[in-house]
Formats: sequence, structure tokens, C-alpha cells
Amino acid sequence: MVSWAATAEMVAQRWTAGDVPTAYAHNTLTKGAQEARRAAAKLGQAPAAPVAREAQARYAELAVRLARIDAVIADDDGRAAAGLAAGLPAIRLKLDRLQSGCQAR
Amino acid sequence: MKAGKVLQVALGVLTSIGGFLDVGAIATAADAGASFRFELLWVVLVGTICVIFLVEMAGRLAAVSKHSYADAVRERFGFQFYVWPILAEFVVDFLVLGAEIGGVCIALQLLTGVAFQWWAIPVALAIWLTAWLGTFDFIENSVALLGLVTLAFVAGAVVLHPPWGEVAKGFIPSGAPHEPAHYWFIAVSIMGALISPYLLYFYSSGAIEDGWGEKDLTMNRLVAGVGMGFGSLVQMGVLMTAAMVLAPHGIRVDQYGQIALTLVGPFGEWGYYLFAVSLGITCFGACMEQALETGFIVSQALGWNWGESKRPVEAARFTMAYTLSIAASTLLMVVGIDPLKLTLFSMALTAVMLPLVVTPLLVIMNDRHYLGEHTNGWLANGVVGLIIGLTFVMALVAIPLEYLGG
Repeated sequence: MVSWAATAEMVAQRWTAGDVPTAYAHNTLTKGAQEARRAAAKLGQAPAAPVAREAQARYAELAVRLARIDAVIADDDGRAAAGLAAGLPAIRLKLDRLQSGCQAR
Repeated sequence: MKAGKVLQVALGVLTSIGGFLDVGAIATAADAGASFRFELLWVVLVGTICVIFLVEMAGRLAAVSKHSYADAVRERFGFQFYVWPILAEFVVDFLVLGAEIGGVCIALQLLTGVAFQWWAIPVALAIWLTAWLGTFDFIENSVALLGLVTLAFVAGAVVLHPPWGEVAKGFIPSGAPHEPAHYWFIAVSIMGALISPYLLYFYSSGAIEDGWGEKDLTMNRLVAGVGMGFGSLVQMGVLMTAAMVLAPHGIRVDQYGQIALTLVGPFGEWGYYLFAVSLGITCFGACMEQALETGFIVSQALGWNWGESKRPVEAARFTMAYTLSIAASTLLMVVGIDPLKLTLFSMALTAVMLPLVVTPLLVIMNDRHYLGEHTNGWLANGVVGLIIGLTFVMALVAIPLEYLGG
């Protein structure tokens, strides 16, 4: 999921700069959101360990954020896309920490 | 060397460079760069050395003995032995052709925004029509020369100012820095993509189609050595751009679309379209080779008339074989199988069947009945021996690694 958050961030930046077409941005963000939702749903079925709940919440947050970026890109709103994409590094950092924490255990 | 011969060699080298990449080479190199930066460059180097030797031998066999590799294996070992490598190759061809068709479809999705599944049947028709109407020379030269667009990856890597010290270190095997299962899975997949058995069958069949003789041995050596050597630079370019564009952002290769960003990094909007065109052309070229190779091996196994330069009516069963092969592999994309997953699985499976295909080469290349005075020397035998050892190790670990790190 860290990779999808990073991908979405780069795609949004590149779309704002006019380097990638809208259809590409839409396809990538849709796929990213789909993967995040799938991962959250999978964790929803896992035993209710705090770390699993935390990860589930972060995945759900990522899915929502990607869907919102996708929606503003469809509206051709570059400023809103850049604003929403600016929040992705924070989500990525949280996901990264969670992943590192899980690996350490 | 006469001017005409120089031109022929130059064309051969250029087509080797332009035709070097395929969907497997792109996917595995991008995955390697994104996951481990320059650490897996040594695998590309080792694989290239292996493929240079193998391709040179396949060409030498065809030029001297007038036998394609498949033909020679069947004659030397008998049909009962030959049927096993051919069956294995047939299964791998089916999957790899599906992955290559997927690569063309993804390229069209990138260019048009229309989902890749919708492109599967039009792409299959285009491949079939080109095979039906085109001659071997036309297919070999036109598609592979268009493939020179892939040099964009080399240009992209240079434009990004790579840390040359780190790049140089990548050529020295250092072991997995993290995620060992994934590291070795990609290493095996890169080797599977490079030492592709179809190359032996296709290259030797192509040499027969082109009517090579002993006078062409120097050209064969140059095309194999220089062409494949420079061709591998393109694959290294893919790995290096992924290492410099994707890895610093923490982007892994989960789908083909992400690999497009490797050229967007250095070239902006142009890079996006360069990637799509590169992917489309290289995969289309590889589709042609895969489909024809299936026709070659089936026809040579069953003693049918074969040859892409013949009119379809003159080699009807050969034509039927590649037609059915294209149709069957297209179904993999029509049902919506993920092209990237299919590619990586196919590359691992290729590694599993390599010993079956490569081992007979050692026997044939030392048989004076086929090679006369051009049998292998100690160096070539030593290298093939090492390659065979390597293929046995890869065959043993490929599937467990696919499970653990794929």
C-alpha cells in the first residue's frame, strides 16, 4: 500500500504538470483505491489486533483520498488535486511506520 | 568485408538491439530497479553473456548443418526425447505469447485510455495479418528496427545522471540487501526472460529462412555478440530509470502503468508516449516471434512444410499452427488475466524448463556430423556447461521463489 500511495502522489503531481493524460491518472488512481479497499476489507476479517485495526483505518483513509483525487482530476481541477496529493506523504509515512513495526515484530 | 556484407551485419546488429526487449525483459528489469535500485545489474550482465553464447551456437548450427535447433534435437535424440522439451516449450509459448499480447494491449490502453481487454482481439488480428501477409525479412527487419525507439530507456538513464559508482557496484553480486526471496525471484525471472528458449528455436529457424551458410559465421558472431551486447544496454536502461525514478519514491511495480513513470521522470509528457510506443512495438515484435516460433517447432516436430517466407498455401499446417497459437493466447487477455502477473509467472516457468532445452545443445554442438570442423571449443563448452548448471539450479528454485517472493 505504501507503493500505491507513492504512485498516486507522483501521478497527481505529473497530471498537474500536464505530463500524463487524465485517463492514465484515472486508471491508476482507481486501481490504487481498489487495492486499498481490498486490503482494508481483508484486514476487517482478521482478528481484532490493534495494529490490524490501525492498518485497516489507514488503508480506508488512503482509498478515500485516492477516490477524491480521482474525482477532482475528472473535474480538471489542478489546484484541488495538488492540495489533496499534498496530504499523501503523511498517509504514506503512517503506512511505512506500520509496515516497519509489523516487520520488526 | 564487402559493403553489402557490412550493411547486412549492421542491419543484423540493429535488429538485435531493437528486438532485444520484450514484455518479460521490461517487467523484470523495472521490478528489479524499483525494488533493489542497481543491485541486480549483475544478473542482466550474466544473462547477456549466456544468451550471446547460446545464440551464437544456434546460428552456427543452422549455418553449418542447415538444421534448425529443433530439427537437430529431433534427429539426434529421436522423437520420443524431443517431444518433452517441445511440449514444455509449447506451454511456455502459450503463456508468454499471452503476456506479449497483454503488453501491446497495455500500450494501447496507455495511449487511448480504453481498458486493455478490449484491445486483445484487434491486436491478435493485427499479429495474425502481419504473419499472414509478411515475409520473414519484413517482420525481422521492420518491427525490430522500429524497436530502436527503446533506446529511449538508455537516453533516459543518462539524462537522469546516475550515480556511476553505485551503478558499477551493481555489476558485482552482493546478495540481497533486504527481502531475499523477492530479490532471488527477480534474479531468476530476469534470467528466464533473457535466456528464453524460444530464442534458440527462432534464431536458428530464421537463419535457415535467410539461407545462411558457412560464409555467414562471422556475421553470426557479430550479430550475437555486438547486437545482444548492446541490446542488453536497453534492458539495463529500464532497470536504471526505474532505480532512479521509482525507487526513491518507494514505488514498486504492481502493474504496467507504473512503469510508464520511468520515462516520464526524465522526459516529461514525451516520456509517457515514448514508453507506450516502446512497450507496444517491442511486444508486437515479440508476439510475431513467439507465434512464428510455435509454428516452427510444431512443424519441425511433425515434419510439416514450414517457412514464413513461403506463401500460407505452401505451408498450410505451419500457418494453422501459428494461427491457433495466437487465438489460444489471446483468450488469456480476453478473460482479463493481469498481464504483469502472467509475465512474471511465465518468466519463472521458462526458468523451470530451461535445462530440458539447453542440455541437448552441448551434445549437438560437439557432434561433427552436424558441425564438422566448427564444433565447440573448450571455452564454448565450458560456458555451456556453466549455463546448464545454472539452469538446473534455476529450475529447482524458480517455483518456490515464485511462491515466497513473487
